[in-house]
Amino acid sequence: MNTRLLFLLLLVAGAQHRAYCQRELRGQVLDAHTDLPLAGASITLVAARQTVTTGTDGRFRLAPAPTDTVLVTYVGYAPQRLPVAALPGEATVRLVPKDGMLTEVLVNTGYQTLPKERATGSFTHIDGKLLDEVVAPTLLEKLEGITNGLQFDRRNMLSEAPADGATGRIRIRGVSTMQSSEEALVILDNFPYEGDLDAINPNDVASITVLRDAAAASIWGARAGNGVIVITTKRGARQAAPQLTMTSNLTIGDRPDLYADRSRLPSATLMEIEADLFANRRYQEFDQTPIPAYAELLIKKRDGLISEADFEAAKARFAQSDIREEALRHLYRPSASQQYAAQVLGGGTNQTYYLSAGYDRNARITIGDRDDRLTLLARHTFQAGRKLEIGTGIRYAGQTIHHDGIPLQALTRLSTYNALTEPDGAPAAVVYDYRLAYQQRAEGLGLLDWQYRPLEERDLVSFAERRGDLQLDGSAVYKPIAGLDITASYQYVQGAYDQNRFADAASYRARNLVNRFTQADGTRIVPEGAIRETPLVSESRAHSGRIVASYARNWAARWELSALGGAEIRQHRETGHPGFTLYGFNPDTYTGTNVLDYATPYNTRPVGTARIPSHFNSIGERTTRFLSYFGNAALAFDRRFTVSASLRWDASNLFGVKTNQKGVPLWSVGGAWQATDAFRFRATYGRSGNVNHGVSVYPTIGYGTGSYTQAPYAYLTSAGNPSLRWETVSTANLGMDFSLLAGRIAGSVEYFSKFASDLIGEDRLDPASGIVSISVPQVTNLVNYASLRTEGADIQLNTRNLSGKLGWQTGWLFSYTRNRVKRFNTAQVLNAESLLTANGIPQPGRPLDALYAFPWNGLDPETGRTLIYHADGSRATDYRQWLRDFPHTALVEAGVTAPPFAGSMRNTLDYAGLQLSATVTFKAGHVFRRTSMLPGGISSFIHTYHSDYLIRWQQPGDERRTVVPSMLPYGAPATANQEDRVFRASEALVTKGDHIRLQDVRLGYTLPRAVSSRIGARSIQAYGYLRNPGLLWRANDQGIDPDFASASYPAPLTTSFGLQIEF
Amino acid sequence: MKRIVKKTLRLACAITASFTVTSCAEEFLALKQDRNAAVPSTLADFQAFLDNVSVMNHPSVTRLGYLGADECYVSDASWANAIYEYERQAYLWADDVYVGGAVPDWEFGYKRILHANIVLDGLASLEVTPVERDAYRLARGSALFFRGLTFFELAQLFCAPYPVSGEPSPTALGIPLRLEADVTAKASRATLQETYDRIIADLREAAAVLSTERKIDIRPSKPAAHALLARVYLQMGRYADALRYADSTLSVYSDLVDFNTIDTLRITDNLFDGLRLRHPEVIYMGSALSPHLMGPYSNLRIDTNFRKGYAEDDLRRTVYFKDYVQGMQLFRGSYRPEGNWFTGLAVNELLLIKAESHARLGEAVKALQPLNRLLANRMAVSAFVPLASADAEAIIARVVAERRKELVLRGLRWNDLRRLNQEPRFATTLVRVIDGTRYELPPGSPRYTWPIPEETVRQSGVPQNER
Repeated sequence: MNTRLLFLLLLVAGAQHRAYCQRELRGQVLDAHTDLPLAGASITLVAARQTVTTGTDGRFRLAPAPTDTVLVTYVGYAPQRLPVAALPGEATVRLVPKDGMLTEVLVNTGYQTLPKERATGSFTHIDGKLLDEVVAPTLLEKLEGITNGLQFDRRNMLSEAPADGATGRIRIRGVSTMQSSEEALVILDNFPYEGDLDAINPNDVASITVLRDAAAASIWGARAGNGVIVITTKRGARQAAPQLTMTSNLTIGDRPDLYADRSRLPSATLMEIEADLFANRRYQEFDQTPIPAYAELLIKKRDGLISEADFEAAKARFAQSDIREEALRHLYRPSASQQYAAQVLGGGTNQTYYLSAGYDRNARITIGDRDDRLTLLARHTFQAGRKLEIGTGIRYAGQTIHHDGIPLQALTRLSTYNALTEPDGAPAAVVYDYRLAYQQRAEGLGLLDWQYRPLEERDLVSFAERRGDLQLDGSAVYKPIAGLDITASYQYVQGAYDQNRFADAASYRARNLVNRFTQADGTRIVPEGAIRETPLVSESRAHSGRIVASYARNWAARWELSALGGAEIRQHRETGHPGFTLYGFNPDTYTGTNVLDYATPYNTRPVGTARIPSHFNSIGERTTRFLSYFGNAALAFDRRFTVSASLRWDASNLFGVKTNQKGVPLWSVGGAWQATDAFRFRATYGRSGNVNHGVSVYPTIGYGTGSYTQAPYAYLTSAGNPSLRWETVSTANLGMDFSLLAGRIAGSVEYFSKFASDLIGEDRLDPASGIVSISVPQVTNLVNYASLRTEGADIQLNTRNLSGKLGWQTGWLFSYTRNRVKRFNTAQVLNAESLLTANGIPQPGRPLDALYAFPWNGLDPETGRTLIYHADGSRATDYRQWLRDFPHTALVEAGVTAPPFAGSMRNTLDYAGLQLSATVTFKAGHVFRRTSMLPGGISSFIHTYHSDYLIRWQQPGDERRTVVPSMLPYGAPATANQEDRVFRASEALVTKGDHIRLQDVRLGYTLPRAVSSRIGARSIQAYGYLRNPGLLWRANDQGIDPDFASASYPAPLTTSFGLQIEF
Repeated sequence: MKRIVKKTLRLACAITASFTVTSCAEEFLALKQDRNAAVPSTLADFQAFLDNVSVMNHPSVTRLGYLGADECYVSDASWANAIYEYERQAYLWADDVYVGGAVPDWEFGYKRILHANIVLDGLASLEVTPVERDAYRLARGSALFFRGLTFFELAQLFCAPYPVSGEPSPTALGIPLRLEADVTAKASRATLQETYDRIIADLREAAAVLSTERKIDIRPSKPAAHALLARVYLQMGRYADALRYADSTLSVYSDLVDFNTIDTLRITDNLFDGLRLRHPEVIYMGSALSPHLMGPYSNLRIDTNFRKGYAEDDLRRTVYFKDYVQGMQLFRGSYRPEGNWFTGLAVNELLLIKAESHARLGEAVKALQPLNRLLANRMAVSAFVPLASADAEAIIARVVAERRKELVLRGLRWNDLRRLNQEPRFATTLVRVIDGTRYELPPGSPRYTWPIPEETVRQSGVPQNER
């Protein structure tokens, strides 16, 4: 037969067919359990061999012949076959999850949502259910232990507030920068989020996706180099009945373990040391010098101001008291956090809605510290005609944080034997800014009472921060033809922040200021009375706009193309206003005075001259602007082969003019191959960037107002760099996903290699150039020049060990990273010291996190001094000379401070509505430098103590049991305290960081439906949760929790109870 | 259908185009990130740069001089407790002073020079209207004054003393003379003669463009430049020049505060606190950051023998010093009344330069006039008897003694030691005793020249000073 004729016939038949048989079929695919839309589900017309996929809202549109059959499929769900004739024009298809199949994971890149099975990049997806199971102080902390490749870096946490939400920094897959921010970019509802993550109600979060490789992240361009965390909030669904969820939980935290602080010595020991210091005349008895209470007692005894009996009585009282006992009673309490949230979601034929409110109230561990947060979220979508959908959203978060507490660490002058209360229970006066004897004398000099009583002060001074965030967004999706969506979206975020401080007239804060500025003739420069202060007021405003066209099309049921392209414009502006202070403030009438002479330097007591403290005299305003164009496309064949590519061009006022002109794009390519049903392989390569906000492209000067001249002056801030550009991170990723035994064993193995180049670093110059290290404000000279390679592997394994009445699942996470500095040029002269400091100079060929140390040779058996040797092997005694001669190449690389190995194991058991889960985490392969007693630490100017004093070398033979040198005798040449530097940086104090931690245990119970339905609820769930039960094992023998090695105490155990009811 | 596609594409194009219009995008991206930051480009910017007191006027490059000279001493405990190792070592004139650390005098000095050079480079390419002429001259003159002043202060620490008689050796090393703002240019050391030639050239040019009028004491003026030239020439032993410039300034500024009018019983840490910004003797305001080792309230002790050197009727004994705890004295006579030691230029120093120069030139009678004028304002009225010696040598000795008593903690003692040690009759051996060990600095010792900071030696390869 003539083929051409046949073709013509078919065409006519087809056209005819179309002409009168087709009708439009519209519909939505939902999860049968949750009624949430399923995006990316396939709708195939079996006879016509035509396939479409559902959009993000789960909706689809088809024109089937009435005789055809629709096949609806979605990974992890049982497929459904439905005759077209049986369907209404507007059909809702509810798919039931296949038992024993993992639900399909949808990953959201912030630009698009796609099934993980069709993505080539590396994503970690955390769904709302898993997030809900973890109770943590902050949203980000919830990710710990359940997100592969994400690590909390707590190495530099000094604060005592680990339990109060101090999370440390986050690293995704190791490090990819040196001096710029290591923070991952956070995307909230499709736009970069610059606010405080604490302002997000965790109950509003539908899912979190972490984008780890170039194909995943490069769509975010110049800011994606550290990885991207995409947070998606919940939304309503079309034609879904209203669903109301109410949750409430209470978390109680233990008091802090103050005895974990190794910088404290027992009272009796401390008194011996102070007596010794006193005998050696180490206390300078000036009015302005705080002297410890026991030393004051000794001074009184020396001067005959106290009887022998009184002295002995006071001494005995000191020896028996320990300030930590009192602190636990008077300064700390068990923390209590309450969280309440309610949400309603649903939708009609033309609209969807989501409404939510949350209220949190936290009483922190330090008495006086408390905060609360109110969050509101409303989202609405509305179908305006067939082709246009309008979406709007409003989010509000308001926080108030009170810092009235006085942690023990703030009372730096207090010795262990000090008391916070008098024997009769009244607040005790303690040594604070000046000598106690002087403060006690003040009233006799015609001044106000000058004593500081911490327990009284706490009630008289208040300091609060307030933060309010308002977000408005709108979007319009226009669908002119099938497969093409044009989305225009806009977001506005306004943040306001202020601080308020009030000091009562009776407070030390107010009295101190009055007294300091009381002149010799009794004139009070600062008026007596309360002080009301607003140190800082700031606000931020961000506008973001985006237009994206996305196109998806299937051919012949085998080829699938999806592509998007668009542009984005963004401005973020932060303004800081100078604050104000009202003196002599009347809290009833809210009036005071601020008309004081801030320019004149006055004589102050006890010594010196000073001006009345005033506020900034300039308004700060920082604006960052971005302009970006982007596109990506993925083509899949037969659902087995997928290729993808992306391209993005960024310009910003953070970069130099030359960089913006050059316009080097960031890009990625990737491919995936579904080899068998069980195995899928992925490979990607691409480049993203990282920006540094702290560097200026212009040679800049800053302006201020001179205190001497009261006239404007300018200062140099940057030498300028017109070629400044973003740092570039090139990432290669190889991955394999597997699913065996009908999904009972599933997981992924990934290898990555990141090469970070053009890293910004300080190019140190000869000080004779005028660019000097010790000046304030520092003049910077930063250029793009360094490079770094990070590589590693992420392994994730989920096993369903038992399924049936008793279910048992295990999730394993394991990650490994290592890095090597490839290039780092510095003009700075290298010496041992420059490698030993906390942020030492990176060494090419060595890890960025390397910890260097002096070799340890033990202690001298005769004297207990640290043994050092010259290069030729002879014994050295002059520590200073030895330090100067020590070549940096002879330092020992003692390990890395960031753990190369990390992971977790999470077991979940469920039986008849009961669910028990526990997470065990580990970190391994890293070291840290523990603190210790310094041989010269006590006799030097700032007397520093450490509990290692108790195990120091004291007599020959001790060198066999301790590494802590003996104390330097008083009167030793001052250069001898250079031994401190040798010992502090020696191998002896390098401590293994390996540990295994039981992170949390959770027991949940879902009431039988029969019970819950009795009160009209769809489900009722109650749970109890323990967080930080503690370490199961640690490699170090010193009893130090390596995650909190520099903090005053480890995160206390918290216990939570919660209830969730769905109607 | 087609129409819709076309329409859509057109719309998409229009929207994209609105983003891409190049001039628009450039304007959008041109906004500076930090509102408080500015690219220095206008005359006002440069003047604001020069008005930065905490770079240009403070701290002066005199800290090593305080540490090395004999005005203050510290107790064993203070020395043991000192925060900065280099201060401890400098106090003992040690072999290795800086122990690898930064050297504040060097860093602050060259930072100030960079600021001056940025202004000079910027002004060179600036077009000024006739109205701006005066402002331009003020900025240029000020920058030259600051550069000359800083080179001079650096030369007193890091170069050998300038010989008061004869020429310096052609191989004697000076300091790196940085004359442009390019921070990447490598440093090299000029000769000692070139260094002083540059100092004089900068100050002469400054004097030529600066006006006599002065609005505020932190800004340089023609009299200030002349006063500084007098100080420089005295240091070089060129007394006729020193005299000429001292006279020039004294013809404009010659007021003195009569110490008889000061209420020494008033309780204050600075008796001149009422004269802030208008101290009649101050010609140019500069001040030092005292070394931590010599913190005024905790460590500083004034040599008791030195204080005994003031006559009973000498008012400076009580105006300058107040007894403080533990045998310490508080210095309360700084002309900068904010706890900082005054190191600027003042009438009293010029009177002493004038007196010494006359005496050195053999003009005993002329030398007595300024000396008596100063002393009349320093001694109790009842006790003051004008000097009437005709012996120039005796007057020189008296002026040398008065310089110590009058110019306490002005950052000049170290310079005077370096200058006067060249004359055997004034040569002094400095002594320190710490923890029972005695340390000496004999006159003419190479340790009167501090080492060049190691980082500069290693990065720029400049030769180190002999020690």
